[in-house]
Amino acid sequence: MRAVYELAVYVAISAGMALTTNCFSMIASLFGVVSYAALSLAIVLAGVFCILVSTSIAELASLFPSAPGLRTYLKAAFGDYVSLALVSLYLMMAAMIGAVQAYILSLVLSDMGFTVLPLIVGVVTLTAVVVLNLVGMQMPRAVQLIMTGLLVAGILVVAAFALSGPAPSPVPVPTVPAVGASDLQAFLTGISLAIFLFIGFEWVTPTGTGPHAYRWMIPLSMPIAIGLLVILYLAFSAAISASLDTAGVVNNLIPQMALGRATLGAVGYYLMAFLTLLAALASFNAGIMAASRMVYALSRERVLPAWCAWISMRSGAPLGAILLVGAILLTATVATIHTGKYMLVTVIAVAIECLVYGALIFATLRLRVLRSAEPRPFKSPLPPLAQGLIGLMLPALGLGALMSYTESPFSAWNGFFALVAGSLVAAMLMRVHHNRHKPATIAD
Amino acid sequence: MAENQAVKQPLVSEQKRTLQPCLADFVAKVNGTASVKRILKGWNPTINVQASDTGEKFNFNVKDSMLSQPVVGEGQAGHLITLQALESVLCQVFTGALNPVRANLDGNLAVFANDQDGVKLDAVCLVLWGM
Repeated sequence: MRAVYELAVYVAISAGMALTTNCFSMIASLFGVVSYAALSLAIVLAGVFCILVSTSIAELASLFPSAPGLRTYLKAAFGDYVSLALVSLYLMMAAMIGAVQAYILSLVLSDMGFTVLPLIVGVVTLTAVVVLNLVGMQMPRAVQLIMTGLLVAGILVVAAFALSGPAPSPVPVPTVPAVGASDLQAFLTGISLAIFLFIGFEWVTPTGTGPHAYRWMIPLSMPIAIGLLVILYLAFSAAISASLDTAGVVNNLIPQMALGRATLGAVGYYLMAFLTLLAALASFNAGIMAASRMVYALSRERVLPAWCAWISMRSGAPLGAILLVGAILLTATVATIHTGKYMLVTVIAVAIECLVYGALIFATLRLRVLRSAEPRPFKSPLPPLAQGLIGLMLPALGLGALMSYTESPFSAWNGFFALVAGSLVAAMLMRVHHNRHKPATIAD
Repeated sequence: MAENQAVKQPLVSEQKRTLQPCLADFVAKVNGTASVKRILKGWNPTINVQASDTGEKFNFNVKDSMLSQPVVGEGQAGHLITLQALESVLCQVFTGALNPVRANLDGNLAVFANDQDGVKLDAVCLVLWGM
Protein backbone atom coordinates (compact mmCIF):
# COMPACT_ATOMS: atom_id res chain seq x y z
CA MET A 1 0.00 0.00 0.00
CA ARG A 2 2.82 2.33 0.94
CA ALA A 3 4.54 1.68 -2.40
CA VAL A 4 1.32 2.40 -4.28
CA TYR A 5 0.88 5.69 -2.42
CA GLU A 6 4.47 6.68 -3.11
CA LEU A 7 4.08 5.82 -6.80
CA ALA A 8 0.86 7.86 -6.91
CA VAL A 9 2.69 10.85 -5.46
CA TYR A 10 5.40 10.61 -8.14
CA VAL A 11 2.74 10.31 -10.84
CA ALA A 12 0.99 13.38 -9.39
CA ILE A 13 4.23 15.38 -9.37
CA SER A 14 5.07 14.38 -12.94
CA ALA A 15 1.56 14.98 -14.30
CA GLY A 16 1.06 18.10 -12.20
CA MET A 17 4.22 19.73 -13.54
CA ALA A 18 3.11 19.08 -17.13
CA LEU A 19 -0.56 19.90 -16.71
CA THR A 20 -0.57 23.67 -16.87
CA THR A 21 -3.29 26.08 -17.92
CA ASN A 22 -1.45 26.59 -21.22
CA CYS A 23 -2.26 23.02 -22.23
CA PHE A 24 -5.92 23.82 -22.83
CA SER A 25 -4.98 26.78 -25.01
CA MET A 26 -2.57 24.61 -26.97
CA ILE A 27 -5.25 22.00 -27.67
CA ALA A 28 -7.55 24.74 -28.94
CA SER A 29 -4.75 26.11 -31.13
CA LEU A 30 -4.13 22.64 -32.56
CA PHE A 31 -7.67 22.66 -33.98
CA GLY A 32 -6.36 25.37 -36.31
CA VAL A 33 -3.45 23.24 -37.47
CA VAL A 34 -4.95 19.81 -38.09
CA SER A 35 -8.32 18.11 -38.16
CA TYR A 36 -9.82 16.59 -35.02
CA ALA A 37 -8.78 13.05 -35.99
CA ALA A 38 -5.24 14.12 -36.80
CA LEU A 39 -5.11 16.16 -33.59
CA SER A 40 -5.98 13.08 -31.55
CA LEU A 41 -3.31 11.05 -33.33
CA ALA A 42 -0.78 13.86 -32.84
CA ILE A 43 -1.48 13.90 -29.09
CA VAL A 44 -1.02 10.12 -28.88
CA LEU A 45 2.21 10.20 -30.90
CA ALA A 46 3.61 13.12 -28.90
CA GLY A 47 2.79 11.14 -25.75
CA VAL A 48 4.55 8.08 -27.13
CA PHE A 49 7.60 10.22 -27.98
CA CYS A 50 7.67 11.58 -24.45
CA ILE A 51 7.32 8.09 -22.94
CA LEU A 52 10.31 6.96 -25.01
CA VAL A 53 12.26 10.04 -23.86
CA SER A 54 11.24 9.30 -20.28
CA THR A 55 13.01 5.92 -20.39
CA SER A 56 16.31 7.71 -21.09
CA ILE A 57 15.65 10.30 -18.39
CA ALA A 58 14.79 7.51 -15.93
CA GLU A 59 18.09 5.81 -16.70
CA LEU A 60 19.94 9.07 -16.00
CA ALA A 61 17.99 9.54 -12.78
CA SER A 62 18.86 6.04 -11.60
CA LEU A 63 22.52 6.73 -12.36
CA PHE A 64 22.41 9.99 -10.39
CA PRO A 65 19.57 9.58 -7.88
CA SER A 66 18.37 12.83 -6.27
CA ALA A 67 20.72 14.96 -8.38
CA PRO A 68 19.23 18.19 -9.74
CA GLY A 69 18.47 16.68 -13.14
CA LEU A 70 19.61 18.50 -16.21
CA ARG A 71 22.70 20.12 -14.71
CA THR A 72 24.14 16.85 -13.44
CA TYR A 73 23.22 14.68 -16.41
CA LEU A 74 24.52 17.07 -19.06
CA LYS A 75 27.64 18.01 -17.11
CA ALA A 76 28.58 14.35 -16.70
CA ALA A 77 27.96 13.66 -20.38
CA PHE A 78 29.09 16.79 -22.21
CA GLY A 79 31.04 18.89 -19.72
CA ASP A 80 30.48 22.11 -17.86
CA TYR A 81 29.92 24.58 -20.70
CA VAL A 82 27.27 22.63 -22.63
CA SER A 83 25.51 21.82 -19.38
CA LEU A 84 25.43 25.45 -18.24
CA ALA A 85 24.20 26.64 -21.65
CA LEU A 86 21.35 24.12 -21.77
CA VAL A 87 20.40 24.72 -18.14
CA SER A 88 20.23 28.47 -18.84
CA LEU A 89 18.10 27.83 -21.90
CA TYR A 90 15.83 25.52 -19.91
CA LEU A 91 15.36 28.07 -17.13
CA MET A 92 14.47 30.71 -19.74
CA MET A 93 11.91 28.32 -21.19
CA ALA A 94 10.44 27.66 -17.74
CA ALA A 95 10.11 31.41 -17.21
CA MET A 96 8.36 31.77 -20.57
CA ILE A 97 5.86 29.03 -19.74
CA GLY A 98 5.22 30.65 -16.37
CA ALA A 99 4.65 33.97 -18.08
CA VAL A 100 2.09 32.49 -20.45
CA GLN A 101 0.33 30.90 -17.46
CA ALA A 102 0.11 34.26 -15.74
CA TYR A 103 -1.33 35.71 -18.96
CA ILE A 104 -3.95 32.97 -19.19
CA LEU A 105 -4.84 33.38 -15.55
CA SER A 106 -5.47 37.07 -16.17
CA LEU A 107 -7.74 36.15 -19.09
CA VAL A 108 -9.74 33.78 -16.86
CA LEU A 109 -10.32 36.50 -14.26
CA SER A 110 -11.17 39.01 -16.95
CA ASP A 111 -13.64 36.54 -18.47
CA MET A 112 -15.26 36.14 -15.05
CA GLY A 113 -15.98 39.83 -14.99
CA PHE A 114 -13.16 41.08 -12.82
CA THR A 115 -12.30 44.36 -14.45
CA VAL A 116 -8.63 44.42 -13.65
CA LEU A 117 -5.77 44.92 -16.01
CA PRO A 118 -4.19 41.60 -17.08
CA LEU A 119 -0.80 43.00 -16.16
CA ILE A 120 -1.94 43.63 -12.59
CA VAL A 121 -3.38 40.11 -12.26
CA GLY A 122 -0.15 38.57 -13.53
CA VAL A 123 2.08 40.68 -11.31
CA VAL A 124 -0.06 40.25 -8.17
CA THR A 125 -0.37 36.46 -8.60
CA LEU A 126 3.32 35.99 -9.18
CA THR A 127 4.25 38.26 -6.31
CA ALA A 128 1.94 36.34 -3.98
CA VAL A 129 3.50 32.99 -4.94
CA VAL A 130 7.01 34.42 -4.59
CA VAL A 131 6.17 35.79 -1.12
CA LEU A 132 4.75 32.40 -0.05
CA ASN A 133 7.98 30.78 -1.16
CA LEU A 134 10.07 33.43 0.60
CA VAL A 135 8.38 32.76 3.93
CA GLY A 136 9.14 29.10 3.43
CA MET A 137 5.64 27.75 2.84
CA GLN A 138 6.00 24.43 1.09
CA MET A 139 3.13 22.46 -0.33
CA PRO A 140 2.98 18.97 1.22
CA ARG A 141 3.11 16.11 -1.24
CA ALA A 142 -0.34 14.92 -0.22
CA VAL A 143 -1.78 18.32 -1.18
CA GLN A 144 -0.06 18.13 -4.54
CA LEU A 145 -1.58 14.69 -5.06
CA ILE A 146 -5.06 15.99 -4.19
CA MET A 147 -4.76 19.05 -6.42
CA THR A 148 -3.64 17.04 -9.43
CA GLY A 149 -6.39 14.50 -8.76
CA LEU A 150 -9.02 17.24 -8.56
CA LEU A 151 -7.84 18.78 -11.78
CA VAL A 152 -7.83 15.50 -13.69
CA ALA A 153 -11.19 14.42 -12.25
CA GLY A 154 -12.79 17.81 -12.95
CA ILE A 155 -11.74 17.82 -16.58
CA LEU A 156 -12.82 14.22 -17.08
CA VAL A 157 -16.24 14.96 -15.54
CA VAL A 158 -16.79 17.97 -17.80
CA ALA A 159 -15.60 15.95 -20.80
CA ALA A 160 -17.91 13.06 -19.87
CA PHE A 161 -20.90 15.42 -19.69
CA ALA A 162 -19.93 16.95 -23.00
CA LEU A 163 -19.66 13.60 -24.71
CA SER A 164 -22.75 12.00 -23.18
CA GLY A 165 -24.99 15.03 -23.03
CA PRO A 166 -28.48 14.72 -24.56
CA ALA A 167 -28.06 17.53 -27.03
CA PRO A 168 -24.56 18.02 -28.21
CA SER A 169 -24.64 21.45 -29.70
CA PRO A 170 -22.74 22.78 -32.61
CA VAL A 171 -21.61 20.13 -35.00
CA PRO A 172 -17.83 20.12 -35.15
CA VAL A 173 -16.57 21.82 -38.24
CA PRO A 174 -12.98 20.95 -39.01
CA THR A 175 -11.07 24.11 -39.78
CA VAL A 176 -8.74 22.28 -42.11
CA PRO A 177 -9.34 19.20 -44.20
CA ALA A 178 -8.41 15.78 -42.86
CA VAL A 179 -4.77 14.94 -43.04
CA GLY A 180 -3.63 13.50 -46.31
CA ALA A 181 -0.27 13.07 -47.95
CA SER A 182 -0.03 16.79 -48.67
CA ASP A 183 -0.83 17.60 -45.06
CA LEU A 184 2.10 15.69 -43.67
CA GLN A 185 3.85 18.89 -42.69
CA ALA A 186 0.79 20.10 -40.79
CA PHE A 187 0.57 16.75 -39.04
CA LEU A 188 4.25 16.85 -38.01
CA THR A 189 3.71 20.39 -36.78
CA GLY A 190 0.75 19.07 -34.78
CA ILE A 191 2.97 16.44 -33.14
CA SER A 192 5.68 18.97 -32.30
CA LEU A 193 3.17 21.40 -30.79
CA ALA A 194 1.51 18.54 -28.90
CA ILE A 195 4.86 17.82 -27.20
CA PHE A 196 4.21 21.09 -25.36
CA LEU A 197 1.35 19.31 -23.56
CA PHE A 198 3.84 17.08 -21.72
CA ILE A 199 6.66 19.53 -20.97
CA GLY A 200 7.77 19.23 -17.37
CA PHE A 201 6.99 15.53 -16.74
CA GLU A 202 10.71 15.01 -16.07
CA TRP A 203 10.76 17.33 -13.03
CA VAL A 204 9.85 14.35 -10.87
CA THR A 205 13.37 12.90 -11.10
CA PRO A 206 15.00 14.74 -8.15
CA THR A 207 12.09 14.08 -5.80
CA GLY A 208 12.74 10.44 -4.87
CA THR A 209 12.49 9.79 -1.14
CA GLY A 210 15.18 7.11 -1.15
CA PRO A 211 17.37 4.92 -3.36
CA HIS A 212 14.47 2.47 -3.74
CA ALA A 213 12.47 5.10 -5.66
CA TYR A 214 14.89 5.01 -8.58
CA ARG A 215 14.65 1.26 -9.19
CA TRP A 216 11.17 1.29 -10.63
CA MET A 217 8.89 3.92 -9.06
CA ILE A 218 10.22 7.05 -10.71
CA PRO A 219 10.93 5.27 -14.03
CA LEU A 220 7.35 3.98 -14.02
CA SER A 221 5.76 7.18 -12.75
CA MET A 222 6.65 9.17 -15.89
CA PRO A 223 5.01 6.84 -18.46
CA ILE A 224 1.95 6.53 -16.20
CA ALA A 225 1.70 10.31 -15.88
CA ILE A 226 2.12 10.79 -19.63
CA GLY A 227 -0.45 8.09 -20.36
CA LEU A 228 -2.87 9.73 -17.96
CA LEU A 229 -2.31 13.07 -19.65
CA VAL A 230 -2.89 11.54 -23.10
CA ILE A 231 -6.27 10.23 -21.93
CA LEU A 232 -7.09 13.59 -20.37
CA TYR A 233 -6.16 15.59 -23.48
CA LEU A 234 -8.02 13.20 -25.78
CA ALA A 235 -11.12 13.52 -23.60
CA PHE A 236 -10.77 17.31 -23.54
CA SER A 237 -10.31 17.63 -27.31
CA ALA A 238 -13.20 15.22 -27.93
CA ALA A 239 -15.38 17.31 -25.63
CA ILE A 240 -14.41 20.51 -27.47
CA SER A 241 -15.11 18.85 -30.77
CA ALA A 242 -18.52 17.68 -29.54
CA SER A 243 -19.65 20.83 -27.77
CA LEU A 244 -17.96 23.84 -29.33
CA ASP A 245 -17.45 25.31 -32.74
CA THR A 246 -13.88 24.20 -33.43
CA ALA A 247 -13.34 27.06 -35.87
CA GLY A 248 -14.22 29.56 -33.19
CA VAL A 249 -12.22 27.90 -30.46
CA VAL A 250 -8.87 28.11 -32.30
CA ASN A 251 -8.01 31.54 -30.97
CA ASN A 252 -9.64 31.02 -27.60
CA LEU A 253 -6.88 30.91 -24.99
CA ILE A 254 -9.27 29.70 -22.29
CA PRO A 255 -11.41 27.11 -24.10
CA GLN A 256 -11.98 25.20 -20.86
CA MET A 257 -14.24 28.02 -19.67
CA ALA A 258 -16.42 27.87 -22.77
CA LEU A 259 -16.50 24.08 -22.52
CA GLY A 260 -17.56 24.20 -18.88
CA ARG A 261 -20.39 26.60 -19.68
CA ALA A 262 -21.52 24.62 -22.74
CA THR A 263 -21.76 21.37 -20.78
CA LEU A 264 -22.76 22.26 -17.23
CA GLY A 265 -23.84 25.87 -17.45
CA ALA A 266 -22.71 28.24 -14.71
CA VAL A 267 -21.59 25.34 -12.49
CA GLY A 268 -19.31 24.02 -15.23
CA TYR A 269 -18.00 27.50 -15.95
CA TYR A 270 -17.01 28.18 -12.35
CA LEU A 271 -15.72 24.65 -11.90
CA MET A 272 -13.34 25.16 -14.80
CA ALA A 273 -12.34 28.58 -13.47
CA PHE A 274 -11.56 27.03 -10.09
CA LEU A 275 -9.57 24.20 -11.67
CA THR A 276 -7.63 26.63 -13.84
CA LEU A 277 -6.76 28.72 -10.81
CA LEU A 278 -5.72 25.56 -8.96
CA ALA A 279 -3.52 24.42 -11.84
CA ALA A 280 -1.90 27.83 -12.21
CA LEU A 281 -1.11 28.24 -8.52
CA ALA A 282 0.17 24.67 -8.15
CA SER A 283 2.47 24.90 -11.14
CA PHE A 284 3.65 28.43 -10.24
CA ASN A 285 4.58 27.19 -6.80
CA ALA A 286 6.24 23.99 -7.98
CA GLY A 287 8.01 25.80 -10.82
CA ILE A 288 9.43 28.52 -8.60
CA MET A 289 10.54 25.93 -6.02
CA ALA A 290 12.28 23.77 -8.61
CA ALA A 291 13.91 26.65 -10.49
CA SER A 292 15.11 28.34 -7.30
CA ARG A 293 16.61 25.06 -6.10
CA MET A 294 18.60 24.91 -9.34
CA VAL A 295 19.72 28.55 -9.03
CA TYR A 296 20.72 27.96 -5.39
CA ALA A 297 22.78 24.92 -6.37
CA LEU A 298 24.48 26.85 -9.18
CA SER A 299 25.34 29.59 -6.73
CA ARG A 300 26.79 27.13 -4.22
CA GLU A 301 28.76 25.72 -7.13
CA ARG A 302 30.04 29.29 -7.59
CA VAL A 303 28.88 29.67 -11.17
CA LEU A 304 26.31 32.26 -10.02
CA PRO A 305 26.96 35.12 -7.58
CA ALA A 306 27.05 34.31 -3.87
CA TRP A 307 23.93 36.37 -3.11
CA CYS A 308 21.85 33.79 -5.02
CA ALA A 309 22.67 31.35 -2.18
CA TRP A 310 21.33 33.70 0.49
CA ILE A 311 19.03 31.60 2.66
CA SER A 312 16.59 32.00 5.51
CA MET A 313 18.14 30.48 8.63
CA ARG A 314 14.67 29.89 10.05
CA SER A 315 12.82 28.26 7.18
CA GLY A 316 15.64 27.11 4.93
CA ALA A 317 14.08 28.95 1.99
CA PRO A 318 16.67 29.97 -0.62
CA LEU A 319 15.74 33.67 -0.54
CA GLY A 320 18.26 34.96 -3.08
CA ALA A 321 17.41 32.27 -5.61
CA ILE A 322 13.65 32.76 -5.18
CA LEU A 323 14.03 36.51 -5.68
CA LEU A 324 16.10 36.01 -8.83
CA VAL A 325 13.68 33.45 -10.28
CA GLY A 326 10.74 35.68 -9.32
CA ALA A 327 12.34 38.70 -11.01
CA ILE A 328 13.00 36.75 -14.22
CA LEU A 329 9.47 35.35 -14.21
CA LEU A 330 8.00 38.77 -13.59
CA THR A 331 9.97 40.28 -16.47
CA ALA A 332 8.85 37.49 -18.80
CA THR A 333 5.25 37.92 -17.62
CA VAL A 334 5.23 41.65 -18.22
CA ALA A 335 6.75 41.15 -21.69
CA THR A 336 4.26 38.41 -22.61
CA ILE A 337 1.19 40.26 -21.36
CA HIS A 338 2.35 43.54 -22.88
CA THR A 339 3.01 42.06 -26.33
CA GLY A 340 0.28 39.40 -26.22
CA LYS A 341 2.55 37.09 -28.22
CA TYR A 342 1.33 33.95 -26.49
CA MET A 343 1.79 31.59 -29.41
CA LEU A 344 5.24 32.92 -30.25
CA VAL A 345 6.41 32.22 -26.71
CA THR A 346 4.83 28.77 -26.84
CA VAL A 347 6.49 27.61 -30.06
CA ILE A 348 9.87 28.84 -28.84
CA ALA A 349 9.33 26.87 -25.61
CA VAL A 350 8.51 23.76 -27.65
CA ALA A 351 11.68 24.17 -29.73
CA ILE A 352 13.81 24.55 -26.59
CA GLU A 353 12.25 21.54 -24.90
CA CYS A 354 12.74 19.34 -27.97
CA LEU A 355 16.39 20.39 -28.08
CA VAL A 356 16.84 19.59 -24.39
CA TYR A 357 15.07 16.22 -24.66
CA GLY A 358 17.31 15.35 -27.62
CA ALA A 359 20.38 16.30 -25.57
CA LEU A 360 19.23 14.12 -22.68
CA ILE A 361 18.86 11.09 -24.95
CA PHE A 362 22.39 11.56 -26.28
CA ALA A 363 23.60 12.11 -22.69
CA THR A 364 22.21 8.68 -21.81
CA LEU A 365 24.05 7.07 -24.70
CA ARG A 366 27.30 8.90 -23.96
CA LEU A 367 27.22 8.02 -20.27
CA ARG A 368 26.83 4.35 -21.12
CA VAL A 369 30.33 4.68 -22.57
CA LEU A 370 31.85 7.14 -20.09
CA ARG A 371 30.42 5.51 -16.98
CA SER A 372 29.82 2.01 -18.22
CA ALA A 373 30.85 0.36 -14.95
CA GLU A 374 28.53 2.33 -12.69
CA PRO A 375 25.36 0.61 -11.55
CA ARG A 376 22.08 1.64 -13.11
CA PRO A 377 19.07 0.34 -11.19
CA PHE A 378 17.04 1.17 -14.28
CA LYS A 379 18.13 0.95 -17.90
CA SER A 380 16.13 2.13 -20.90
CA PRO A 381 14.78 -0.91 -22.76
CA LEU A 382 15.18 0.87 -26.11
CA PRO A 383 18.04 -0.20 -28.37
CA PRO A 384 20.69 2.54 -28.76
CA LEU A 385 19.90 2.99 -32.46
CA ALA A 386 16.26 3.74 -31.69
CA GLN A 387 17.30 6.16 -28.96
CA GLY A 388 19.68 7.91 -31.37
CA LEU A 389 16.94 8.25 -33.97
CA ILE A 390 14.54 9.74 -31.43
CA GLY A 391 17.31 12.03 -30.23
CA LEU A 392 17.73 13.33 -33.79
CA MET A 393 14.01 13.58 -34.49
CA LEU A 394 13.25 15.70 -31.45
CA PRO A 395 15.27 18.79 -32.47
CA ALA A 396 13.82 18.43 -35.98
CA LEU A 397 10.32 18.51 -34.49
CA GLY A 398 11.31 21.57 -32.50
CA LEU A 399 12.41 23.36 -35.64
CA GLY A 400 9.11 22.33 -37.21
CA ALA A 401 7.31 24.05 -34.36
CA LEU A 402 9.22 27.26 -35.10
CA MET A 403 8.25 27.05 -38.76
CA SER A 404 4.61 26.60 -37.80
CA TYR A 405 4.44 30.12 -36.41
CA THR A 406 2.84 31.66 -39.45
CA GLU A 407 2.21 35.15 -38.06
CA SER A 408 5.87 35.96 -38.47
CA PRO A 409 8.19 32.97 -38.92
CA PHE A 410 11.21 35.24 -38.57
CA SER A 411 10.07 36.25 -35.07
CA ALA A 412 10.04 32.62 -33.97
CA TRP A 413 13.46 31.86 -35.46
CA ASN A 414 14.92 35.13 -34.20
CA GLY A 415 13.47 34.62 -30.74
CA PHE A 416 14.77 31.06 -30.55
CA PHE A 417 18.25 31.89 -31.75
CA ALA A 418 18.40 34.99 -29.54
CA LEU A 419 17.68 32.77 -26.53
CA VAL A 420 20.23 30.17 -27.65
CA ALA A 421 22.82 32.94 -28.08
CA GLY A 422 21.82 34.38 -24.72
CA SER A 423 22.26 31.01 -23.03
CA LEU A 424 25.70 30.54 -24.62
CA VAL A 425 26.77 33.97 -23.35
CA ALA A 426 25.26 33.24 -19.93
CA ALA A 427 27.19 29.96 -19.75
CA MET A 428 30.40 31.77 -20.66
CA LEU A 429 29.81 34.41 -17.97
CA MET A 430 29.05 31.73 -15.40
CA ARG A 431 32.30 29.96 -16.26
CA VAL A 432 34.21 33.24 -15.91
CA HIS A 433 32.53 33.86 -12.55
CA HIS A 434 33.40 30.35 -11.42
CA ASN A 435 37.05 30.73 -12.39
CA ARG A 436 37.29 34.01 -10.47
CA HIS A 437 35.60 32.60 -7.39
CA LYS A 438 37.20 29.23 -6.88
CA PRO A 439 35.82 27.39 -3.88
CA ALA A 440 37.99 27.65 -0.84
CA THR A 441 39.88 24.44 -0.33
CA ILE A 442 39.96 23.27 3.22
CA ALA A 443 43.16 21.58 4.16
CA ASP A 444 42.97 18.08 5.51
CA MET B 1 29.40 -2.10 -4.90
CA ALA B 2 32.84 -3.07 -6.12
CA GLU B 3 32.01 -1.47 -9.47
CA ASN B 4 31.07 1.70 -7.69
CA GLN B 5 34.40 1.86 -5.95
CA ALA B 6 36.28 1.33 -9.15
CA VAL B 7 34.64 4.20 -11.00
CA LYS B 8 33.97 6.93 -8.47
CA GLN B 9 37.34 8.24 -7.37
CA PRO B 10 37.77 10.07 -4.08
CA LEU B 11 37.29 13.77 -4.80
CA VAL B 12 39.96 15.50 -2.76
CA SER B 13 42.43 13.50 -0.81
CA GLU B 14 41.73 10.06 0.49
CA GLN B 15 40.25 10.21 3.95
CA LYS B 16 41.58 7.39 6.04
CA ARG B 17 39.01 7.85 8.79
CA THR B 18 35.95 5.71 8.90
CA LEU B 19 32.46 7.10 8.89
CA GLN B 20 31.50 6.77 12.54
CA PRO B 21 34.25 9.02 13.99
CA CYS B 22 33.58 11.56 11.21
CA LEU B 23 29.92 11.68 12.19
CA ALA B 24 30.73 11.84 15.89
CA ASP B 25 33.05 14.81 15.27
CA PHE B 26 30.38 16.47 13.15
CA VAL B 27 27.76 16.07 15.87
CA ALA B 28 30.14 17.49 18.48
CA LYS B 29 31.00 20.44 16.24
CA VAL B 30 27.35 21.25 15.50
CA ASN B 31 26.33 20.95 19.14
CA GLY B 32 29.19 23.20 20.13
CA THR B 33 28.44 25.96 17.60
CA ALA B 34 25.87 28.44 18.85
CA SER B 35 25.14 29.99 15.45
CA VAL B 36 23.95 26.65 14.05
CA LYS B 37 21.19 26.47 16.66
CA ARG B 38 19.18 29.08 14.79
CA ILE B 39 19.08 26.85 11.73
CA LEU B 40 18.10 23.79 13.74
CA LYS B 41 15.34 25.52 15.71
CA GLY B 42 11.98 23.86 15.13
CA TRP B 43 13.52 21.30 12.76
CA ASN B 44 13.36 17.69 13.94
CA PRO B 45 14.30 15.21 11.24
CA THR B 46 16.09 11.90 11.53
CA ILE B 47 19.15 11.86 9.32
CA ASN B 48 20.22 8.54 7.80
CA VAL B 49 23.76 8.28 6.51
CA GLN B 50 24.53 5.31 4.26
CA ALA B 51 27.90 4.36 2.81
CA SER B 52 27.21 2.76 -0.54
CA ASP B 53 30.55 0.95 -0.73
CA THR B 54 30.84 -0.49 2.77
CA GLY B 55 27.12 -0.84 3.42
CA GLU B 56 27.44 0.93 6.78
CA LYS B 57 24.35 2.78 7.99
CA PHE B 58 24.10 5.32 10.77
CA ASN B 59 21.41 7.68 11.89
CA PHE B 60 21.07 10.60 14.24
CA ASN B 61 18.18 12.82 15.29
CA VAL B 62 17.79 16.56 15.43
CA LYS B 63 15.81 17.64 18.47
CA ASP B 64 15.69 20.90 20.43
CA SER B 65 18.42 22.32 18.17
CA MET B 66 20.81 19.53 19.17
CA LEU B 67 22.05 16.47 17.31
CA SER B 68 21.95 13.09 19.00
CA GLN B 69 24.95 10.77 18.88
CA PRO B 70 25.04 8.71 15.68
CA VAL B 71 23.87 5.13 16.13
CA VAL B 72 24.21 2.16 13.85
CA GLY B 73 21.23 1.34 11.66
CA GLU B 74 18.53 3.03 9.66
CA GLY B 75 16.21 5.51 11.35
CA GLN B 76 12.53 4.90 10.69
CA ALA B 77 10.93 8.04 12.07
CA GLY B 78 8.42 10.08 10.04
CA HIS B 79 10.59 13.00 8.94
CA LEU B 80 13.52 11.27 7.28
CA ILE B 81 16.47 12.61 5.38
CA THR B 82 18.82 10.11 3.73
CA LEU B 83 22.35 10.80 2.55
CA GLN B 84 24.08 8.15 0.48
CA ALA B 85 27.58 8.12 -1.00
CA LEU B 86 30.92 6.36 -0.86
CA GLU B 87 32.33 6.34 2.65
CA SER B 88 35.22 8.60 1.64
CA VAL B 89 32.81 11.16 0.16
CA LEU B 90 30.64 11.12 3.28
CA CYS B 91 33.69 11.61 5.49
CA GLN B 92 34.75 14.59 3.40
CA VAL B 93 31.27 16.10 3.54
CA PHE B 94 31.01 15.69 7.32
CA THR B 95 34.47 17.08 7.94
CA GLY B 96 34.04 20.15 5.74
CA ALA B 97 36.48 19.04 3.06
CA LEU B 98 33.80 18.86 0.38
CA ASN B 99 30.94 21.17 -0.52
CA PRO B 100 27.83 18.94 -0.25
CA VAL B 101 25.89 20.79 -2.94
CA ARG B 102 28.74 20.38 -5.36
CA ALA B 103 29.00 16.69 -4.49
CA ASN B 104 25.26 16.35 -5.15
CA LEU B 105 25.52 18.22 -8.46
CA ASP B 106 28.38 15.99 -9.52
CA GLY B 107 26.33 12.92 -8.71
CA ASN B 108 28.68 11.80 -5.94
CA LEU B 109 26.29 12.38 -3.05
CA ALA B 110 22.61 11.45 -3.08
CA VAL B 111 20.42 13.59 -0.82
CA PHE B 112 16.90 12.24 -0.38
CA ALA B 113 15.10 15.14 1.22
CA ASN B 114 12.68 17.86 0.32
CA ASP B 115 14.09 21.12 -1.04
CA GLN B 116 14.08 22.99 2.24
CA ASP B 117 15.63 20.15 4.22
CA GLY B 118 18.40 19.99 1.64
CA VAL B 119 19.04 23.72 1.95
CA LYS B 120 19.01 23.51 5.77
CA LEU B 121 21.60 20.74 5.75
CA ASP B 122 23.74 22.79 3.42
CA ALA B 123 23.26 25.85 5.62
CA VAL B 124 24.72 23.95 8.57
CA CYS B 125 27.84 23.23 6.50
CA LEU B 126 27.97 26.87 5.39
CA VAL B 127 27.92 28.10 8.97
CA LEU B 128 30.42 25.52 10.19
CA TRP B 129 32.96 25.81 7.38
CA GLY B 130 31.93 28.83 5.34
CA MET B 131 32.58 27.13 1.99
